Amino acid sequence: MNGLLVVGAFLALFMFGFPVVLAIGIPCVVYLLGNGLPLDLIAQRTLYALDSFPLVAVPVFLFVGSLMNAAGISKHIYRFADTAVSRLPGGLAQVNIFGSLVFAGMSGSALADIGGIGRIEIDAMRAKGFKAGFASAVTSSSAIVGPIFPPSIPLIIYGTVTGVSVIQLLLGGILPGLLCVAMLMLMTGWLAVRRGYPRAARWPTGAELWRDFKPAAPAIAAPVILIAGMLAGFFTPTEIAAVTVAYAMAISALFYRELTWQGVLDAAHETLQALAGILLIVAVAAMFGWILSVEGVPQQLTQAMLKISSNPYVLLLLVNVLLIVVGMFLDSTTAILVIAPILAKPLVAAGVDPVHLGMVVVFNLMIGLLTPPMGLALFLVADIAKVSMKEVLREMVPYYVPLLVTLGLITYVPAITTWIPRLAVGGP
Amino acid sequence: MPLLTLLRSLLRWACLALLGLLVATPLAQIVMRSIFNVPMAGAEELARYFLICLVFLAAPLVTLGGGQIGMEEFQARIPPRPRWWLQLAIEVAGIGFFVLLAVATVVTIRNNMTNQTATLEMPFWLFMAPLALGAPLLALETGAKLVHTWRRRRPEEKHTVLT
Repeated sequence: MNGLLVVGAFLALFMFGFPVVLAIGIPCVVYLLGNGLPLDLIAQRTLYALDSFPLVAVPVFLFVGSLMNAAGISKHIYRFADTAVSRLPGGLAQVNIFGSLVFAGMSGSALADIGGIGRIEIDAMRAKGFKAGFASAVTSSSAIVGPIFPPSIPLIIYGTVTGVSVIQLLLGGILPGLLCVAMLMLMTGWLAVRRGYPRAARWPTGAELWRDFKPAAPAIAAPVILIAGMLAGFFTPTEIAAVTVAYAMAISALFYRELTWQGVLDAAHETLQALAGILLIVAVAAMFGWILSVEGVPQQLTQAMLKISSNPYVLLLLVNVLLIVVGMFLDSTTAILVIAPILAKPLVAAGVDPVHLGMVVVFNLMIGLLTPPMGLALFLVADIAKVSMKEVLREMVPYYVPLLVTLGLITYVPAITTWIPRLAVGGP
Repeated sequence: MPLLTLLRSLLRWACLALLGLLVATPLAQIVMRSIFNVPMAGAEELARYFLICLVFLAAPLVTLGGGQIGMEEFQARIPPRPRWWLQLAIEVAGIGFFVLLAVATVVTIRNNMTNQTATLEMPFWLFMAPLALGAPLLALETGAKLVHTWRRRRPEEKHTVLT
């Protein structure tokens, strides 16, 4: 059984509805036993995959997302966003996008954004007469800013599996995150003018803006404090997750005073649910990665890709097409674990900056959260808004345009990703 | 099954405690390093160990509730009866996989009894214990899911639970 058969078996089992853990694990075990390899390998690969300090950040960031909702931080972020941008064409739809950006500064997950501030945004938009499908489309497309703007769980996982500096990846996400928000707001403005969506009657006064900025300020300041602390060497990108929990609890105790012990427990329970699903895949995917390496799949792919072209821009185009297809079928964590180590080799060999490639891969896979059939963000938003997937998808169509334009810009203007890391950390 | 309920309750509290430790360990390290200038040797290894414990103990806990990510879209197009058989087959395969993982873990521990971890010098059996405990529990919970699916006599319609 060679590497490609393992990949084929994984895809077949996955399509038949096997949980990802089993779809990856069963072909791997068959390969190992079929080749007479010792049983020790199965247990060791599975356990050692989690013996990684950067991965500690994943459950802790998931906890931050849940904690922000339990502590009422999401509510204050929403109120500030409402005051600041609801006069723009599209009103609450713009609030939704801007709110997601602020939320992204403390959370590193799109699903945490949808499950948290997304709920508030959808309810508010429906109350103002926006269609549930449109509210869901805006919420899910703006939620993908969460894992792009630092902190970010997928970027940490990408850095862990490819060996790229996590701090540079996180810094590299700042401009793409802002660019994505700008593109989404432009599209929303255009749709709002065409469809005549309501918006606030007037711009806020300075006093109103200040009134709602004050409660949201601790949350808005979070990314600045966290990045500054990281650059100053007070804590590592992994430790940043624990610092964010402490920060969220501190601002809850000092400013918001809404967090109860029951709220903390509920947030922790929610975290257990999400972390077990994601990290068990990480554990089992290590066997998969090992088999692909032993079978020389990355090397074969490198040669095949370099045969087509050695021009990094052509290779990046191929990567984008491949990842869009992959993102439709694989959830982002699995895709990063399985695909990223394979793709990184030929692209870096062709001269693509590893941080730039990381951003292209992660942004592309985040779009995958919004594409059927395996669009986890779509499932969640449809469930929260109680609308059919068909309705969400119909409203999503215009939003693929700004997302793909952003992807194109990130792909072909590497400086959007690499400028800030170079400025902050140095390098060529 | 009161024993299973008690086991789940114990697991839940253990996981909550581990999550707390996962947050507290890096924080303690930052405080000791930055304020007292006394870095805690082994804090990183300890945090990694807590993560391993947390994942393998939390995974069985969410199995019955549909916490394992999968794609049900194609399966949903299959008629109910064959879909029910397919779900049973997936659960049987799951039990087989997790039992094998448990056996592999025991074999690994037996073959490496004298080994220990680098910094904390933790015995190898203790380092592998979360998987040795988690894999049979995953098999047990998948078994409970199999019994549940069998008794329903029709397929589950539920999607993966994410949050």
